[in-house]
Amino acid sequence: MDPRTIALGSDRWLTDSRVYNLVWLGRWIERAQNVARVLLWAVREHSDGDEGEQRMEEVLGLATAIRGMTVGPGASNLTALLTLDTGASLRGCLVAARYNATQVAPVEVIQTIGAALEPLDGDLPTSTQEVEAMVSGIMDTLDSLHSTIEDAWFHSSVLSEEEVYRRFVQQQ
Amino acid sequence: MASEISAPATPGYNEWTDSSGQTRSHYAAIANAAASLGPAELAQRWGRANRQVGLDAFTFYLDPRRYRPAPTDWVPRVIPADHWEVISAGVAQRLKALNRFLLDLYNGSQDVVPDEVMYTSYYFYPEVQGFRPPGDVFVQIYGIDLVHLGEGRYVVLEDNLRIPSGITYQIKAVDMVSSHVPEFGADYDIVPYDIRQAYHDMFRSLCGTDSPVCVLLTDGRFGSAFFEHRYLSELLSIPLVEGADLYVGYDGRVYARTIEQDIPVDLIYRRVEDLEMFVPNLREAYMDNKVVLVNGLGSGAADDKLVFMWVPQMIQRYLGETAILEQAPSFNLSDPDSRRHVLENLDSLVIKARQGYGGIGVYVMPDLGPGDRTRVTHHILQNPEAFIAQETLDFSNHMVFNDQSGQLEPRYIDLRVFAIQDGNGNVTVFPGGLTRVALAGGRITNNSSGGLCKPTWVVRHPFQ
Repeated sequence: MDPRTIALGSDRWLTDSRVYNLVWLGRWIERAQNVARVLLWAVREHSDGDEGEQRMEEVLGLATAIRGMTVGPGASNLTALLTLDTGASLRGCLVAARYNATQVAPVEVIQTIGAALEPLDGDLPTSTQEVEAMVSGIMDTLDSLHSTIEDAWFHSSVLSEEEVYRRFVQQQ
Repeated sequence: MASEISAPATPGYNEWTDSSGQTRSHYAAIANAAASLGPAELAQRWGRANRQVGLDAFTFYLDPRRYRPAPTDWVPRVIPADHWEVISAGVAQRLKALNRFLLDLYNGSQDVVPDEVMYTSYYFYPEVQGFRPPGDVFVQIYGIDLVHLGEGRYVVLEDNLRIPSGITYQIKAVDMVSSHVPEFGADYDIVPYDIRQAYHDMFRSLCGTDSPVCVLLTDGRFGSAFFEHRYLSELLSIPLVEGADLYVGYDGRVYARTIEQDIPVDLIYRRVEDLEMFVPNLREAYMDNKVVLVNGLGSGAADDKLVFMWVPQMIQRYLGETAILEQAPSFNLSDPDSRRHVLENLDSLVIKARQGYGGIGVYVMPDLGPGDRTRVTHHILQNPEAFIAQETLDFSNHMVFNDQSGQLEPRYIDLRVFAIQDGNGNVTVFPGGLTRVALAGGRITNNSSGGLCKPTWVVRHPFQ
């Protein structure tokens, strides 16, 4: 008897909660990419010399204002856009995306979002060059998410019995 | 970081070393592997495994606003097969007796537990009176908490009959240690098990069909054990649904809303307690036998920590057997003599709220300060029927690897074992279980109270 018949295709069901989480997963990832693009543009184009750093702060100040972020006096717009504990920062978007992914996505997608979050959970870089490298790395990881989704989701059928055995049974 | 690994002596029974400080035979292979790897390599392995836990969203949330990878120690616990034979037989015996008791309770003829105890149980559902679930089984999935007092003497602390969690933490912890520190298991003959097949067989037996439509009802991604819901859904190939995805139709059946069509559901593996809050009228659908619930409604009546005192009598009454597993000596605080005894010996007891779970409402009196002891005493005096008392047991320690110091440290551990009973009355006990580790200096091991997980193996003799 094929155990897969027990659930009639199981994870292919598009229920209300599944659709909700799929939509928001996509939205949060897109928002994260938008924040990352603004950050990259700011640090690449506006950070040469003292005057450049001031311009960069002004540009990032606009970006935080557009996103409705409240940045306290003396706080850096750059740090706020990276990690402020709201859904408008890069980290906030990715945290929210990971919650949605845990509800609907294959573990490979969850792992990729987790990998994008890792640099933001440690000590933040201090120089603009290091920030650029970090955000570029996060963008690359998020770009790879598309192929992860392609491979782990759309191109995969319901787990074969062999795959289930490999993933869950064999290692017990 | 130290250059060698040593296991310190501990008070109480030490799972790892005997009273002379020698490594026990069933831990020798792990100890040798740890010594070969050395503290620095072990710390690196720990780091990689812990990173993977975070990436895989192997989580246990204490605060839903904070992402929290499940804290796990990767030194496995080893249970010799001869110990396991006793545990397994005792767990199966207990589950069968509890199900027989619940059937009697809701069908009007139980005479084991006094009525004043039963009818004050928070999880006793009068509306279930007269209802017989499929196969006469209320509790299909059972979790039992045990502690080891030494030399194969395992004692029951409590039964979990409503929505016991942890079985996937057991699977994942074992999976992770075999991936990240395979050297630990290289010389052991570990007893395997197949949860997927066992659950599927159980679902089929309850629904009376080969292809039942089953769903797993979750309280959502912010629930403390949401990882388990997600992982079980994938492992069992059954859809993960929230309350809003289900509704009870005019024909009394339960349907799942999907974009393509509404699909009638045969069985709900529920991971929520308050069904009506999640799916209105679900209780009626269940009582009309339109849907199977796992676990059944009202099963929590026997989960009550005061009812626990009568389980040995249930075993005697329903199975005609003596209980295989001992249970922690307990006191009914509604009884004046017991209450007096408890109040006079409070410093040596554990106080538990009858409806508590996850370590909530558990007070280990020897570990509390004077202010907290006074507060608990007041609670008992004001509302004695809401609590029970248990002897404080000096249960076993196990070693936890501290990747900062490079040393092994002793911690108290317990064991949650999982078993299922299908619609034909057959019981399967899954070898091993989830070992839970208390925080340093404490004895409460529940994950909800910050405890760690530990991989657990049942191994066959001879040990290499």
